[in-house]
Amino acid sequence: MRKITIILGALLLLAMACQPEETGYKWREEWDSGNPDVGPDGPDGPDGPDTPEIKGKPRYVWVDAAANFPYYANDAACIAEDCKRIAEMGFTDIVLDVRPTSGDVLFASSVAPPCQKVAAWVNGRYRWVERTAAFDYLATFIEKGHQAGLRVNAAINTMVGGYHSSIGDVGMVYDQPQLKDWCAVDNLSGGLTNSMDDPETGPRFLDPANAEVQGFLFTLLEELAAYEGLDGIVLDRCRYDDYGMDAGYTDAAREAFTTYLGDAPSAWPVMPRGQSTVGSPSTLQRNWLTFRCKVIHDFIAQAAEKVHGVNPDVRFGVYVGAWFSTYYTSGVNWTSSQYDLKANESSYKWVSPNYQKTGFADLLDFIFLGAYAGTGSIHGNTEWTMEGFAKLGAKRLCGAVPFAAGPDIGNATGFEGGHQDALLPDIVKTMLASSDGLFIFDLCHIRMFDYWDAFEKGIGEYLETL
Amino acid sequence: MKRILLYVLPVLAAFLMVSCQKKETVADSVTVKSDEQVVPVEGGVLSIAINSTVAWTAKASESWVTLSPTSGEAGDATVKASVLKNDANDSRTATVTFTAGTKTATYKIVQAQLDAMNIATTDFTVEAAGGTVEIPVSANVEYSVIVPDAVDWIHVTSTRGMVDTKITLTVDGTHEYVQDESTGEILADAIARTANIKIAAGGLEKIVTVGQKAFVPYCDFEGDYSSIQYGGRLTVPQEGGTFTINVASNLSWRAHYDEEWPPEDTSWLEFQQQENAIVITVKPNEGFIARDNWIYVNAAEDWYGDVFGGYFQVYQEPVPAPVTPQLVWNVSVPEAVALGYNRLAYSQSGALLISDGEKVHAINPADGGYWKAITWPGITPTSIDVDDAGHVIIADNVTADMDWDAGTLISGTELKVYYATDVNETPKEITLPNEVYGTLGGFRARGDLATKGAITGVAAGAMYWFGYDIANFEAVANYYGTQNSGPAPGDMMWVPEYGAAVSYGADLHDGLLFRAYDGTECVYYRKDAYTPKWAADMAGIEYEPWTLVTNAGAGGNENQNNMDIIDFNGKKIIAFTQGYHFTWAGFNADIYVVDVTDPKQPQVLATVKTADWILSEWPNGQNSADVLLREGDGVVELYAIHSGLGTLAKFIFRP
Repeated sequence: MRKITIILGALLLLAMACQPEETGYKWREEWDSGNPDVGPDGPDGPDGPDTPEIKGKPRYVWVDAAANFPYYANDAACIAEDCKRIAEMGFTDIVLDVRPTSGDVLFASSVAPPCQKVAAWVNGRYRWVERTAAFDYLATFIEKGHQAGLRVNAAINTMVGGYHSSIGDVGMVYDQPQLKDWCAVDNLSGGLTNSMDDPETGPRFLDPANAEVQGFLFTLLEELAAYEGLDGIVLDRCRYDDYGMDAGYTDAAREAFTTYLGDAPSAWPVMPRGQSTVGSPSTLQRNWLTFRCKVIHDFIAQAAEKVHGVNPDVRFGVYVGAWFSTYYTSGVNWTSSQYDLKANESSYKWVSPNYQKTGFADLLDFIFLGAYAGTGSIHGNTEWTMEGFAKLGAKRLCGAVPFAAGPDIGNATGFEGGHQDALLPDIVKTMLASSDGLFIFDLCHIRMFDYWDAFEKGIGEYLETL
Repeated sequence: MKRILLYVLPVLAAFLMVSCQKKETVADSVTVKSDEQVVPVEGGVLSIAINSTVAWTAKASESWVTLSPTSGEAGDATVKASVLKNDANDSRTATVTFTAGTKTATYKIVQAQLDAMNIATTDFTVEAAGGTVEIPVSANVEYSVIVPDAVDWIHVTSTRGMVDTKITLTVDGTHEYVQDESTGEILADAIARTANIKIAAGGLEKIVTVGQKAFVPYCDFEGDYSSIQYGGRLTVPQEGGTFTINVASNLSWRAHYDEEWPPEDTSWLEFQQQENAIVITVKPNEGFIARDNWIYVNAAEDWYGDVFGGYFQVYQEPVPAPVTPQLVWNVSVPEAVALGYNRLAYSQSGALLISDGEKVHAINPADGGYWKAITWPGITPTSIDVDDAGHVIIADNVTADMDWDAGTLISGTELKVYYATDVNETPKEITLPNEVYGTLGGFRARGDLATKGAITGVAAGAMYWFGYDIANFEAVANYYGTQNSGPAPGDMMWVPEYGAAVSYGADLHDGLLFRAYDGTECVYYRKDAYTPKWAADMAGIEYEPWTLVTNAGAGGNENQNNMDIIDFNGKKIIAFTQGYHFTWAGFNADIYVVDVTDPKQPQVLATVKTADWILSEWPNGQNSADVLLREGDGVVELYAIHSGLGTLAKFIFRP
């Protein structure tokens, strides 16, 4: 059967090669044909019967590391049980966060410290939750997920190295003070400030333009790609610091930006502080915004190469917010480089021919669009409606990569109090109609608000239409 | 022994001779272990290993090479060659010659040149349209040309070169322009963008700066219409015509309507964009109202949506309207003859309504043609009006029986007011305090009774006017006026049987216009209409006195006259009728049109004499007339009905 699959795959590739190039949005059939690669250690072993084919478009549920830590950090049985429940709801994939914002990891790594504790809300109190178990977190999920018929994709918080919380600090940048040079430098009220000197709580971001940071992350990704049975790798927070356009002012960035310009920048920092958007940027500002996107683009290009160099079959993708109109402030252009910005987005004064080149969608095997609209904004054609995010996402991706889109079902836009069971089937239906797949953030909210049945109903209704 | 020695010695001598002869035959020879050495431009010391069979000497061909030692004996030797720094831009070669007897050997020393790259001109300026830049380069080494990533508008055809040559850059055209920061003026000679191109050769590096002049965009209206380009008006006469606006531009441009809020009516105006012009064709305007549409010209050519061009209004004059009422038609409506009860209204569904005290007649306002009668079960439409929001307001009033001396009601009065969305809807009652004592005279609605409005009327028997402020179809305040609240306290304010009162605005506090009779036919105005119901309640309260708006003169009483008001073009216009109970005074239903925008300085705009609009003269007896003002197509429409005759007329005018 495996041979037949390979032959069919080859035939499909040949057939695709003979077709004229698709320029618009199109459902990609390979998404229908994917089986979970259960691997030699799968439920039936290498010679066991094939896993049933996934019916319909893929359905992903995100499993955040910190939020789910109290359940899974020390309890392999809970992992097995929940994988089963996730599969029963009708999801086809989990996206397992294995590197929380502390930057410590939940998989075997030679370069990153293991994640032994996270700060989480437990029983109404913010406290440390410690991991004392020795089992391999990711490997266990791969094993139990595959046994349940799920594909297991690993996600990492990318440009982070530590977490500063009200109850203490955690992460490699705190353990290794010499790594301060790796950290982001932001334009804050006191001037350019290293992230380690920022008193605000939150993740300590790394500098995307730092070659050592990039090298470290490439090693991390190669180690991840080597994980047996892993179905995919997803980059989260592969962007600049939460300070948006105030982020990115490291010495390494200045040097690289000087090379990019061919001259030293006439202003540093480049952007006025505290701006959430920019109306009509100067040429220098436009170049700076483009440069940051180029840094991210180039990092992703190399990361894809590194991952596929280890395992050509593992899918490589990125999570981004679908709000393209303001996502430039994070230094990210997730569109396809084929997407004609001049024709479609010229109202944004920060776009340019060079900006178009920074679109990285074509480098990916799949992408996740956060369609984080409120409960009252499911339908529509514009940003800040779930459907609009998906439709615009399809347009902006040009069919270059399959995408899954969906809401944050714990978001403080109507979801925060729960009791939205009635909306979920419509959300499932709408997202699956307007995207290549469904993406739900996060499993912790399904558990918290007891949405198991609602998703089973919604996905079940979708499956009945096939 | 001696004999032996004699024999031996010659042999030994011969041996020795042979031996000496062999030494003298060794050939002169000198060898150098390598032939050549390349020395860097900085120079240095070389070691040259030689072997010679005899004594040797060494000599360098060039002064920049110093040898040590310069001679030696046979055997192996090492000669140090000190090479000075090469300050020349060419490489150079020296030869070291070793001589041993008759033999020589040579050793070549090649020293690299001092790298040089000369670029005579390092600043270039290119026109906005783009072009090529040729950079002459004189170099003795290979060089490369590096364009920064951010510079996507300069292209270099060859990035590497060698010796005297030139670099050719291709520069894209630009539409970037530069404005003066304070005035916004587009600067003609400004530099739009610059780039530093790096020319690198070995350890040498030169920066060439390429600047590009700013684009000077233009998109100008030319000729007669040059002045309308930015918000001006193209005035088109009523009869229409064709107009050509010449456009000169170095951008691609397009003419269009507002795309976000397109105009409602484009049927009368066509425009066609030609290569260098906009041709506008306007149809004749048959209406009394001017019309206009805005046309936008956009010239946007680059990534950043820069817009030039302008926008202008196409304004077309209307058919000239009369400034005083001009009769459009007058017809007889025998179905509506009802002495004393005719009231006019205009429904939002487009029917002119006439109440006759029992039913309502729908009339075609275009020509006065009769459409149909309308009745509502259980409602007797004593009077009718339509408020500003289109609600049909119906009054159903039963005549009162009063004790005039006591001023109290004996029996029988009842006022009910109803509203309906339109005439085809079932009316609903408006809740009013039932305090009308007398037969209902004129009755008017103003504003939107669903939100904020007023109804007014006069109760003839009790000789007072009344009014209600209305919200959500319920009375929120009620007002009364009697003769005691008349214009001149103490004077007789004799309210004729069918007087009229209209609210000046949507709220009775805006004022009240009171059509009355105090010996002459008058209209009075009072700023705040509020008056307590009974005179006793007025004690100690100062009210703005009544103002006489107009006095149409004496001539009769007990007239059944009415009044209406309209807001038109920022003016407030009233019309009222004046008739006479008896015919001896002449004709009997004159129409007065008065501008009461400032009610204290009213302007009588026109008087339409009865004879000018009724179809036959009413011989005698009571008569009544009602008037209705309505905004038409750029004009005020004035409708009037003579109750006794059933004559209905329509006038238009533009005050």
